[in-house]
Amino acid sequence: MRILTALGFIVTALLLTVLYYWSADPGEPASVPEPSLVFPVDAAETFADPPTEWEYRFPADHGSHPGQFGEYWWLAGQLHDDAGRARAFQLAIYRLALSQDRPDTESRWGTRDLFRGQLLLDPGSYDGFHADERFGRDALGLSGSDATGAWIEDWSIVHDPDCGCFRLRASSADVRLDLTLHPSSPLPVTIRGMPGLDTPEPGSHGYWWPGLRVAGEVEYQGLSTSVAGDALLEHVWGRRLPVAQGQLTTNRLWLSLDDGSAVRCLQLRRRGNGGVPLGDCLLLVPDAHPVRIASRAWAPADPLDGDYPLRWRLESPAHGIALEIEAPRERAAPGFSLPLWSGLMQSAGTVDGQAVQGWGWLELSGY
Amino acid sequence: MTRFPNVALLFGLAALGLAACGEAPPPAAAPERFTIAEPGPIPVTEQQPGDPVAGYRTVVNRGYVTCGIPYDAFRSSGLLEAGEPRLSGREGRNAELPYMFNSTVSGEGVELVVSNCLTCHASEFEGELVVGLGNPLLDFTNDPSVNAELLGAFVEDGAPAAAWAKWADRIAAIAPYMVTDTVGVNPAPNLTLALIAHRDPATLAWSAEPRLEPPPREPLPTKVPPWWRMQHKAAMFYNGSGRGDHVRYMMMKSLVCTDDIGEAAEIAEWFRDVRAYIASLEPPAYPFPVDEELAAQGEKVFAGTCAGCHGSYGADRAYPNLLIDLEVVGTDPAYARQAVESERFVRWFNRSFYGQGAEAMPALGYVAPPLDAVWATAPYLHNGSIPSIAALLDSTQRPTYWQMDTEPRQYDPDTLGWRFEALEFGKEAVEDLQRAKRIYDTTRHGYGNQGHQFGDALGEQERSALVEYLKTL
Repeated sequence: MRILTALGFIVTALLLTVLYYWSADPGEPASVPEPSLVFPVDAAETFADPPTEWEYRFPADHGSHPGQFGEYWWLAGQLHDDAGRARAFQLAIYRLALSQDRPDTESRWGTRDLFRGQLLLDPGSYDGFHADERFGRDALGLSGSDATGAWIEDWSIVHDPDCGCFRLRASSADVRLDLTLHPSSPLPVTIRGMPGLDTPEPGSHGYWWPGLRVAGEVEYQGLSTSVAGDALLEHVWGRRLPVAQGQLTTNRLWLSLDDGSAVRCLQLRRRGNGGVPLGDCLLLVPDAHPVRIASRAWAPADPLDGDYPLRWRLESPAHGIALEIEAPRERAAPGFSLPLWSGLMQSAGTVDGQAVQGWGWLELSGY
Repeated sequence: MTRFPNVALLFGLAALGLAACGEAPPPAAAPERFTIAEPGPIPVTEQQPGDPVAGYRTVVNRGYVTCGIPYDAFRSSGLLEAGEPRLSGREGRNAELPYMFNSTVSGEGVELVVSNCLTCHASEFEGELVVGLGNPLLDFTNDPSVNAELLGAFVEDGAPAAAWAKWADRIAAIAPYMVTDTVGVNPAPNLTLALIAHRDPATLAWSAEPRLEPPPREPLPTKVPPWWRMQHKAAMFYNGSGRGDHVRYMMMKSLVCTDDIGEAAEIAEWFRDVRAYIASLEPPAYPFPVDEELAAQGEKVFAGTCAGCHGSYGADRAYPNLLIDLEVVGTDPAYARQAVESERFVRWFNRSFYGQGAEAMPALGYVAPPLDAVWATAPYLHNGSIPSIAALLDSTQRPTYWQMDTEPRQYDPDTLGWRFEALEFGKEAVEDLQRAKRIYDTTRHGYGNQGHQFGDALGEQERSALVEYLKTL
């Protein structure tokens, strides 16, 4: 599916352009090249596609894959504090390489990787939410990635091999998260490329790990509380990462349902109505292999009108699935440099004929 | 490294809506009639005159498919770099496009890249691109709507977005009817029927929902025949159903995007010249040495065994235009039978603009084709089920399962076909989907390699001489 190569380059070019303009601040040494729209594409082209099949090795694959052009660690979850207040959070860290090798310089400003992070905390009320975005580079030790994970200043997602768990730490203006996340299943679900396209060369590899048990502390507007809950992790690396472009939006959904099942959807869809949605959904029920559901099964509940669609349906009679998915309340987009909507969802309906409900996370871009 | 390096994909996109610059679907009968033709000689119909030079210019330059990919998106996606513009006579923007695409401008002023006839009707032979030679390597095993939709990532808002959406929607409508399970076979008949199902025969207006019951989802396999046969053929298509004015069949590629009679009429005018061009094409000469003495022996074998149906060549050339009964020729009947059973499409054709001057008659038989440059046209039979002439003439040599050697594709002058590997197993025995797609399985519906066993009665020496003679045609 070579068109994805082209798509991937465009996607990464966009991301890198944002990152690179940020990185080229006036205080840098003159050795840094001038910003160029061509430059990011050139950087992407120095990387080969990842191998057709990836030999997963854990815990090594929880860490960084510096041989790959791009990578992201993506965590979201729903929490409750001691007082029963609901909280939802997301921390995502993206890494993109400027070159295969580190710059041939002894300067501490030498940069190989650029990073972007996004942090969201939904306090579970109509009072708003907290959103913050950061950019970083692997210069001066400010940001980086290694065998355990990635960090941008004091935002980090790392794997701790001693406990077999993940640790998330992030502080922002009036938010602080300090969470430990323990898997409830021995291994994650591996994911390969853009789902549903049956590409011989997938362009990316990674994994999705739903059902992480969360414990820790959340501080919001000066109030620190112990929390516990449920979260999911997605970690993907390769040369082609899904981002909206042109007439196509990117829609991603993760669901965690109370019967123990989980759903992950990734879809490219026309910004307007019509067209053939690309991608698929994976349904994971306990003690079974993931089942693929065609992308057409997941669609906005209402005609698109230019705004972010926050009501969706997932319907697949063949799999006994009929789920309504909607944001628990109206909420604006977070205002990141890359326009997107990201937030908590709630879901109810049936799976295999049984009534279920649960929480989820929706991320939309390109609208 | 190019940003869009895949030539196979390029062909796939170009082929979207390939329906018939030559061999298309089994069409229809006279207006308000549905006639099944009887075996026997097909009457010759006088064809419209045209200018062959202008016809070629149209084939390689004009937008007879009127929807496609906005040029800016085509370029941004890297498609421009994925194929070489190797044709002569390409004008303006066409000169920079891969040969299977033409340039046009939509009514809204959007510069478009549209597919042309050569996606299917041009192919390489010994390093040369031969216009008119059917391409036996096209890959229709993937859903074309995926790539059409993905191209939207490169399309700007406004008129380009609307132009792209129209094209992508058409592709999405026919995609379910054109995905084959084998690389190399062509689904043109079925996708044409799918297009017909969406159109009003009186106005050609497109309907998002099918107006007729669509054809089966699994297309029957066909091979793309060479254009140079058309100067001898009275009727188009393997079953001889394309009777009357050939122009109306040759222009059916416009079914993808042409939504009104006015546009269709303009394209029909262009295709008077295209028909003349196709009818003017001469077959290529065999590029390898020929044993003239052996060939002379073979000519006698041909005269005794083959000429009755396929005609005679040389100074006393004669071609009988015979429709041979299925019971006689014995080749896979699925294509002919499906055409006969497609009455609703036949009637649509006859009532439509495309049926004006054309009288289509499906039949329970196949035309014995002219054999000019038959050596270049492997694999053989209407479904491409037999990899070489040697195997065609000796049914014991026909593989049940086979796979063309494609890296590189190599011509075998001894057997007159592309080198292949005979297999002991079919697709089901192969886990690798990509490999399974390359296996031709003659046990599948429509893929049969039976029939036409007239060569079995010949001795080995006679067959060898006959093969040598066929090199001279």
